[in-house]
Amino acid sequence: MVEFPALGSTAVVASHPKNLLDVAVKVVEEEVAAIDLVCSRFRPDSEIVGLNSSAGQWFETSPLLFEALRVGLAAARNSDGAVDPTIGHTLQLLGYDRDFSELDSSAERPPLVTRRVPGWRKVQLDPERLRARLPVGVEVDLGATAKALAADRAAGRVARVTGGGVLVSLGGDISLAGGPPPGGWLVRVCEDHRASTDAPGQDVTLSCGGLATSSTTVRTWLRGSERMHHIVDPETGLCANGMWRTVSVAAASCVDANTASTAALVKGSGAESWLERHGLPARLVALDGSVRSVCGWPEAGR
Amino acid sequence: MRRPSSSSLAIARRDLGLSKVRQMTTWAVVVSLGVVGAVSAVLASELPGRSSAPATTPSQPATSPNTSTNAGPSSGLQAPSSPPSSVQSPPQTSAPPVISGAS
Repeated sequence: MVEFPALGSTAVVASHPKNLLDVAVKVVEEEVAAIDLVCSRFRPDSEIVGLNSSAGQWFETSPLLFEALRVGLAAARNSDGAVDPTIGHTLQLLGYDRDFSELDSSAERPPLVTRRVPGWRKVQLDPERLRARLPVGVEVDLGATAKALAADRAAGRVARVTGGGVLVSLGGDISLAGGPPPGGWLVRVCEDHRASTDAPGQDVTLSCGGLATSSTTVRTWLRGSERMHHIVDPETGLCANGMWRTVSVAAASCVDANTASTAALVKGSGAESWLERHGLPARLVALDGSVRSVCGWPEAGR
Repeated sequence: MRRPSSSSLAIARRDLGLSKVRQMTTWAVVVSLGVVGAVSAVLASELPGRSSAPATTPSQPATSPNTSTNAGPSSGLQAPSSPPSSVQSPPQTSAPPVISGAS
């Protein structure tokens, strides 16, 4: 198993058999670098910055940005709009306007008001000419899905190239491809991907698909005296304020798992039935720390 | 050769007229049924819970309807082919677990 910094967090790569690890790491590094160059809101040379500054007109995209936009819009549709990529401007209003490590809690900011985000349906894609158009005033943020997409792309490519099994974790969002080790991949599900292996959580084994965890307790910052987090409710344009603080979901891919875990935080009390309807095993941690398991997620203490 | 009387000519004209009316009525009924059927099919597909497409399928943008779309290819969120399993016994490997958590 190898760890290295990636996308403002940590990448973890494991392979089966272990002698494929060097190749796997190289592939993951390439995919991470590619997605960062395309989707980072905080790199002036990234494509998404160019797209956001070209609102109102068609913007020719690379195949990777186009794929990331399609995935982001599909996530919005599949979550009934709960995971909406048109939250870029809203995140700036909330104070998340630069790399997370450089956020300034003391900066003067206008008071927050409830305002629905512009909405993913207003984003236009032209698949024949690989171009996209945002309405004037709309900025997209693909933070919710781009990392998961990178994990899925990397894991799939490693499995194709090596013929072996691989686990790729980007900031705690995990994608699996190829044959797993005997007994499956051992994963400890916690609230924070930086937690130690003896932190409160639950050990599970996985053999395929993806696993993602979203939380309102991680990646938080102060806006004046008010604590903010990065899970935005598109209906209000404010930080999601539901009954769950952390949700982990297993799905067929990391993108689907990440979409569902983020959506569950936004949906709040409706999350359990929504996850059940989609047949997605999930572990939900309530604000008081109590844990609920749904749809076949193994029961255990937190 | 006998010439038809004026009354028999009138009857013939009346029969011809009635025949045309019947023909037109038949066509009108057929066309109406077709239109009603088509409209019903469209309405049925638009009603909530009756659509054959996912409920969240977006409408097309108002502009460039033939060349642009805001919908990615998707068949909805997919469940894993096997759910996570609890760890019943000590892992067979000495490797530590990978952490899944938020970032």
